[in-house]
Parts: sequence; C-alpha cells; structure tokens
Amino acid sequence: VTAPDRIQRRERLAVVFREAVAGRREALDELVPELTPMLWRVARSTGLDAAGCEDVVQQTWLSLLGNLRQIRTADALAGWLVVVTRREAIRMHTARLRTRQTAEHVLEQVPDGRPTVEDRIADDERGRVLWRIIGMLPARCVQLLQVVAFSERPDYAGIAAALGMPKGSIGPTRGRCLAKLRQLLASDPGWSW
Amino acid sequence: MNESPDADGIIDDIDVAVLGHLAALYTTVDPVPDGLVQRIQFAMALEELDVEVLRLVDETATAGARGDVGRIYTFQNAGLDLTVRVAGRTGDTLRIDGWLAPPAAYRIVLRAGGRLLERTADPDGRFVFERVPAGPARIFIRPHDGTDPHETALATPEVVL
Repeated sequence: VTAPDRIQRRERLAVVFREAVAGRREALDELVPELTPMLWRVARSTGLDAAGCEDVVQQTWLSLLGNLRQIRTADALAGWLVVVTRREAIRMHTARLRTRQTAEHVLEQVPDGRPTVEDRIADDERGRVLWRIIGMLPARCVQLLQVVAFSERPDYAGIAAALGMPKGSIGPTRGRCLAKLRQLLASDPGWSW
Repeated sequence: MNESPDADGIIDDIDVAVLGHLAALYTTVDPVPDGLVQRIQFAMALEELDVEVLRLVDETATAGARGDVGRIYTFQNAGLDLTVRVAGRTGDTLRIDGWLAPPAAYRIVLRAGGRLLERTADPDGRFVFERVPAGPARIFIRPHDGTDPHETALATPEVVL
C-alpha cells in the first residue's frame, strides 16, 4: 500500500458514501467491509472482549441507519463511527468490570478459545519483531496507531479527535508515535525494511 | 527513509509502509471475526425490511414448577398467530418457545441484546431460542427462504423480555 493508494481509497469511499446517502442500498453494504476493520480496532483497543466488541460494532452500524442523513462527508462518517464505537465499547467494558467485581469470586476466568497472539505469529519473524516493538510504545500511541493503520485518511486529525486525543496535540502525537515506532524498528537488528 | 512525519500530518512512503505492516499484523493477531461483516449487513437489511407489525393481543404471567416465572405473549395479524413463552431465566439469559398457527416452516429471526439468532420453525410451527439475553427483543418472521431482503416480512413490536 502506498500513499496514492490510500488517497484513491479515500476518494472511492467518498463516492460510495454519497451513493449511500442518496439511497443506494448496496452502497451502504459496501461501506461495511471497508470500515469495520478500523472499528474493530477502535473497540478492541478499549480492552473489551471479542464478543462484546462484535455487539458494539454491529450496534454502531445499526445506529448509523437513523443518522446517515446528518453526516456530510465520508471523512465525517468515519469519525462518527469511531466516536460511537469507542463510546459504546468503553460503556460496555466499564459495566462489565463493575459486574465482575462482585462475580469474580464465583466465576472462574474462562479462556475465550481463540489462538493466542504468540500462536498466530509463530511463523512470522517480522510480525514477532513488530509485535515486540509495539509493546515498547506508550499505550496511547498503540491505541492511536492501530486505528490509524486501518484508516484511509492521509491526515488523521478526525480519527485522533474521535479517539479523544486532545486537539492541540493531534498532529505532533501522531507524528511522535509514528516517529518513535520507526526509530525503534530502524534500530532493531531483527527488522528489515 | 529520511523524513520524519511532521506536525502538519504529512506522511511519507515509509510511514505508509509501517502502517501497512501494522495493519497486517493486527489482522493476523486479532482479526475481525469470521462472518461479522455479513452479520452486520444482515442486521442492517433486517432493520430496513418492509415489515408488517403483528399486534400484541395478549400477555399473561405464568408460574411454572420450581418458581420458574414466565410470560406468554400472543401476537396476531389477519392470517397468523404467534404465541411466545418466555421462561427459564438463568442469570441474564432466558429461554423462548414459540408456536406459529397455522404451522409453517418459516425462518424466525430473534433480535435481542444487539444479537441476531436464527431458527427455522419445525413443521408444527414450533421454534426454540435458548440463552437469549434479557432486555428489549423483537422477532421477525420471514415467510419465504429469506434471501430477498426486500420481501415483506412480519415482525412483533419490540418487547422487553
């Protein structure tokens, strides 16, 4: 993926979005696979479990149906979806934590049955290096970068703002996070470009 | 790989490559669950479905064995009766038994707690949903094979279980 590819994708999404607003039902269906991977990261980065995130992401798309006409552009759409997803994921996560405090002594921790991260990247040397290095970044950077990685926007101001990053620090924060990651990768003997 | 990303949000090809690696990594370690996109599309189609809403004509509390308190709802339109018994509360989940009269092997979709559960009624018009999250719920009945999202379906009003 190069920068021009991202810009092309952004333009294509803008067209599909306008068609969806104009009432072409299939256009709305096309937006779902395009934007769900980003929303999945928004939800997961709050710490909510996978089943809860599925509910939250689905609910977010359903609530879009009643609000589509109030959203003006494809960029605004992405921002709206990110805000709603994050808010609902945090709300559900907080509610669960509160319930768990009373239920903790009764219920055992049940593993969710999904393969662990280590299993999934066992055969991927580069992936292991990158995963280790991500772990060295500040939590705020990890949260921002994993969402930005799935965004088609050449600048990330709206996404970062939607993630609750203070407006004045958005550019520098994104810059600092990316720069830090690049610097760590460049200085790691296990990483190759 | 010389220029660092700056405060104005200008990114170079290295940034794009790094973000691409990140996206690939997260897709590997924590992918969007299989079928989620399709379930979302299905849920959205259902939401916009042209539905005829059944009337709630009766609602009765029942007391079963071992204090298993439940409710029976009866919904109706000109051609169909739907009876739903809600019982078996365990924690936050419930069991739903439904009967369609006249019986038909319709597709039944239950929307509850942000989830969609699907069954086909048996030839006697019966269907069961277990472990249904408590809270607002709605049942959709699709008379045919349910593949045409624009067909008219039947639905109950939203009921709090």
